[in-house]
Amino acid sequence: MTILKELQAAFKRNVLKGDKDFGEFIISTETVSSDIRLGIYANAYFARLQEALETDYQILRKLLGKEVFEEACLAYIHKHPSHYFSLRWFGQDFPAFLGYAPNRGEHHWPAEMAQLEWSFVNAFDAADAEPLGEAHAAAIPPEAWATLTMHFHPSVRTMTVYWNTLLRWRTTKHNETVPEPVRLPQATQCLLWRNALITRYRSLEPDEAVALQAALEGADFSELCGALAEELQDQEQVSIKAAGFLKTWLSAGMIVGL
Amino acid sequence: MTSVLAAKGGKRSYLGCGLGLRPEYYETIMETRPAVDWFEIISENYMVDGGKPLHFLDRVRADYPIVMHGVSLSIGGTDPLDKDYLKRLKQLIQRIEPQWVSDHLCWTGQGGHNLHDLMPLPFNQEAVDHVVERVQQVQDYLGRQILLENTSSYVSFRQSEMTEWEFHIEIMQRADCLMLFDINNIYVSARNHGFDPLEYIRGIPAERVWQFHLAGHSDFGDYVIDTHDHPVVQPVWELYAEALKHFGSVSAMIERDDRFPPFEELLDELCQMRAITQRVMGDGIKETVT
Repeated sequence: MTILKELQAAFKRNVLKGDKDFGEFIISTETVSSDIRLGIYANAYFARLQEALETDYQILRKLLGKEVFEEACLAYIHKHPSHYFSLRWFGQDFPAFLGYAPNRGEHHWPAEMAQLEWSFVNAFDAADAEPLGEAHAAAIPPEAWATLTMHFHPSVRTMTVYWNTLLRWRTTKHNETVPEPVRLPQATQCLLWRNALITRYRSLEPDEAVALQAALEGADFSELCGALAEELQDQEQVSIKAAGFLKTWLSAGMIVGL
Repeated sequence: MTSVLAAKGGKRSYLGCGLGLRPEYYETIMETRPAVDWFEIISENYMVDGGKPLHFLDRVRADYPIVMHGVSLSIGGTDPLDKDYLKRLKQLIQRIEPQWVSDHLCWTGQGGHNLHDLMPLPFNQEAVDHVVERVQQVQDYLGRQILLENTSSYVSFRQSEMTEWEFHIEIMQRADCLMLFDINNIYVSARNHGFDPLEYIRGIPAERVWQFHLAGHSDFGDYVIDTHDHPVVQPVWELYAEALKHFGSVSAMIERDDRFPPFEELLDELCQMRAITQRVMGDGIKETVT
């Protein structure tokens, strides 16, 4: 190992873990000891990473309170040193660190709130694409509907919500009375996307959730109707409902290609 | 290696007095089109796929010259250069067509861990050789010269063999790169390590310096930390005047990265910079310096 490499490795250990084997590299002065000098780097490291998490998880911080949130941050920083060149990605494992389990739904509410906020982060700077307008639905020839596939804006994503996370997010954001965390009687789907630079979200009724999931997985319009038919009791409503969803998605700026 | 200096005619453009483009001011800048000569961006903030950051950057770029300033190149690091980072940097350069591209003479991580800080190097021959080789690789890949900024530092290494400015000069001359001369960082490091900032200024060859940074800092008495969260202090303005006398017309900007004031306050600071520039340079301000 070169001296430079050894020096950097020792400096890193000092910053991350407070290892004292670095003193031999540093010159102390009468007024400022090497401990104080090195402490500036260690303090800056933890402060910077914590600030990144505070920026990405503002609502969770408010709900947990400063002290609990900072404790979680510190534990996360110790367990997940950054491997990214940009702080943009540092917080991506925070929901999983808090126990987020998307398929089983056994996680507690902070993990779900973290996942919601991280989904907003991802929708915020997802790739650009020009959305089609609602008028595009009218221009589709009748014979083309059956094989129609939808290409969604890169920011469009869904997540399963098991807690009253959306209500708690919204009320916290707007400084309203925040309800206690409770599990929902039935898990619901939340849709997130970006339209005209604004990140948006809403919960989906079960029929729209089924239709959107099928469309996101590449189903054409007739396959989407097939999936929807299993959800609806009134089969005559299937194609009307499906066409309605398509118009809704178009007008929301979610679709970039048909 | 290709000499990009030759390719660009060996001239530095004089852009005037600029500010950092920060998200806090996007709307104000677009609505008021302020009298700022140019903006500097933090490159990493725009290494994203889309959305607001790139939307505003494209619009500001349409009206103002832009300079790209990175914090993650880790030119002094002992891990291999991050090819993914360099690829993204090159893509952003192609999109923005900046006046120039800069980063810091430092390292930012080790063993795959990023410290997200500008970590100091020992000023010795081993570090010079190491950095020179990496600067040459980066300049070859980007097809252009880069500027390297002197950082603020809080430690001095027993392994150092030369002054910071001698270290910087040898790297610039051997790697044929340029310098972003951060005047606040020189003030901060001079206070922390007890050297004469004027000696630093006078030690650097003028033709290598293409840009100045000014910023505020936090003064703890026995030491000073570079925090970019206060206005520029009087001693740093005085050093700016000295730097203008030594280096001539060099594009200068004020960095503000925390405790963001109303944009008008930054414009007031910019006026202060212009007044000093006018007083020192008089009619000697040149659009281009060879």
